Amino acid sequence: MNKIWSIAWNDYLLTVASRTFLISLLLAPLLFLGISGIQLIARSNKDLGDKVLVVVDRSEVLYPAIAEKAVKRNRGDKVLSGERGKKTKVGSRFLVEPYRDDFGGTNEIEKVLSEKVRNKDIFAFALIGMDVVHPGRGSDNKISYYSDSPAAYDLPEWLSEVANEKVESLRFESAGIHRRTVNKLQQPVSLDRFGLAEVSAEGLEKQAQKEDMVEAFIVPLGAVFLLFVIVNMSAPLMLNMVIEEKMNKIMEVLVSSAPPFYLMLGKLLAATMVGLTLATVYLGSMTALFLTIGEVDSIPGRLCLWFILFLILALMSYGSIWGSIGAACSEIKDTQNFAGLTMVMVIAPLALVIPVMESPGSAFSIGISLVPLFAPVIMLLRLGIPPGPATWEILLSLVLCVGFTMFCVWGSGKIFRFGLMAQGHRPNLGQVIRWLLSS
Amino acid sequence: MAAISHRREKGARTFSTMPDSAVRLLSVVKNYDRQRAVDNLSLEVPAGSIYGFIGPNGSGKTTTLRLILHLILPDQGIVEVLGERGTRAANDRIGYLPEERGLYKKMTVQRQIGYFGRLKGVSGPLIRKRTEYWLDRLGLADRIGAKTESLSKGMRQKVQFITAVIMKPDILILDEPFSGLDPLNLETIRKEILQLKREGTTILLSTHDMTAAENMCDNIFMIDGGKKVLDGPLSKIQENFGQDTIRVRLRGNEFNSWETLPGVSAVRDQGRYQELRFKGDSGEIIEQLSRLGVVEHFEIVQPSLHDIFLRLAAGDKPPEKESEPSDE
Repeated sequence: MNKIWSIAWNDYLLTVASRTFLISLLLAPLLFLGISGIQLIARSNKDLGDKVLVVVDRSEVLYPAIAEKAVKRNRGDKVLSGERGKKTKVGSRFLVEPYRDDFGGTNEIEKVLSEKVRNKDIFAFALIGMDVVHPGRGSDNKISYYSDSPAAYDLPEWLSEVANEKVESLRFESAGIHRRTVNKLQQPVSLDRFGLAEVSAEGLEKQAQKEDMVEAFIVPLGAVFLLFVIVNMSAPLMLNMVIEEKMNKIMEVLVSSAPPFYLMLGKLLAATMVGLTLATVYLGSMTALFLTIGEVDSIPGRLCLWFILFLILALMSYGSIWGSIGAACSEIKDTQNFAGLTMVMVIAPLALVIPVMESPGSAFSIGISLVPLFAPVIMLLRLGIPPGPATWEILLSLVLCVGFTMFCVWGSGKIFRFGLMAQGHRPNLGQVIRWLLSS
Repeated sequence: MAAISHRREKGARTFSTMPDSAVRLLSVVKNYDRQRAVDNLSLEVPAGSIYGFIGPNGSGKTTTLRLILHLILPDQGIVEVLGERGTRAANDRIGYLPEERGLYKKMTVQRQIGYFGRLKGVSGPLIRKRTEYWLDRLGLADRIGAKTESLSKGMRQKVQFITAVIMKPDILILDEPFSGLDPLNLETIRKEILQLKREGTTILLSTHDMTAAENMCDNIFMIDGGKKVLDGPLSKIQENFGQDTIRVRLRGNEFNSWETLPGVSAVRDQGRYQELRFKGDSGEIIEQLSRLGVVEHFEIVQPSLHDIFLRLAAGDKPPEKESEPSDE
């Protein structure tokens, strides 16, 4: 036990005292904040120039309404925001112009106006079909929008919205129905979402609480994201530690001093401690932040405990897989094929986050949260979303996860035993399986 | 009868029983894939001796050392170390300096030695005491806090030597301990090895330096193609080969057809003299030589270990009269 602890402590200190670790410790949240910051900067620095839209209105009824709405919009808070006198521009003005030339064929109009878009004289143009108000009367019943900025969605969306609004009004009018009456009839009923009411064993009733989106979605998603980041920063350290020691020719002395299984356990413990250090720093910082803003009650203590438990299991299982790869290979380039497979295993649960969030109690979500490699992420996610999984699901998931972790550690120990001394050649999967099956 | 080595340091094992043979291998076979690395090998390393391991590259020396350390397991046969058969139980009593040196670059000398000491089960206070002792002895006292990457190659080798001896080993396995050392450092390490032997440590010395092996080893073991080709005290081995070598120097003579001399089967130019391997009557050779010029030097000697090594590596069979294992 002393040897395992010596190895763990040595590798832990080697890792956390390195400049790389300190940089990555700061870099991960900075990277996250940086991405958010870049988004904000990009948003504030987006093109706020006027967008000229030329409308070819063959219906001869929509253009005035579109132009009027554009003027209204350009005075509104989508373009200018802030207090009166201190207004700043936050969006582009839409300047709508009619097509003034004599109507030619569609091809001719497309050619002329496309050239104007290319020359930056206008931003886009739209062809409104003759039969848009009464689509049954003919086939020219669509609006066609042309631009060289396919990703700019604000102008076409706005055009579609105002054109449809006017078309609807015109259709109601022709049917003899007043628009205001329709609006009244179509008034939506608001829906408030609640959790479930509870009655405790002592008979105490607890009223159903309104669903909190932060608690229901943001917190569990944040926990899963944090677990993913920490596991990916810590578990691959096993690979680095083992490969480095093999490449630096330290491994032979180490194996002569401690059995391979002790070495593997020690290193696994070190990677787990590194992960827990990261968790302490990140969770501690978040707690400090919430304390500062007086929102410490928002931190779900119960979820924090589950987070730590599943983090340890994830670090141990993924760590032993990474460690096995390091033990089986002699050089970094030999690890690439195995590492690719492992990365797929690590990332796979993330692809399941959205379907599980949408229906955390479904048979699919329950089943997938019992799969040991997915459990740390998926079960943690389900635990974060009220009302949470049933006790038997949590227990079964934990048992399977612990069992799988033990299997990984055992298998990794076997691969360590054979792999550490097998230097100079690239192992194949068959050989690794033979090592696993050998007595 | 087991020899007992005394340990006087506080906190260390006070007595450690040492069998007559520190290491015994019996009919050991080890294969790598389909290649036989060690073939039916048996050997006995007498306790307290320096046992020289020699052999060409790829002959199975390192595999044998790894078998002794239980880093790998034999496919057949018995490996017994310090009385422990087929287990790693004795590993904490074995110091190991592998051929390929390796230390943590970013770690300080003190931490490095401490870590390897702890892995061998040495207690903290004892590690500190011994670290100071060894660093002082090897002239590295002022480097205790230095990172390994800042040390010269010779210094790093000395640090690695300390990591191998920090637990006062009963057996010390040294794989090419002198490679890359300058004469000064080489002499320092050589002295320490001899001192450890005097203190009762059994030393397995694998080396290509035949002079060092000849001067330091009580017993020589040679392996080639995974098979034992020599095993025993050097004097007995040389005796078996007999006095079949003549060292000769002729004054100002440019004679270079030494092979034509009667009974001469091989010639080695040693620069200052020629070394002739002969069979038969040396008198005839002297006669022939005196006809060729003034004989400045003439000496009949036993073949050196270097010579024996070359002969055996070239495929010669060892003499019929087999050497016996040392009983020292």
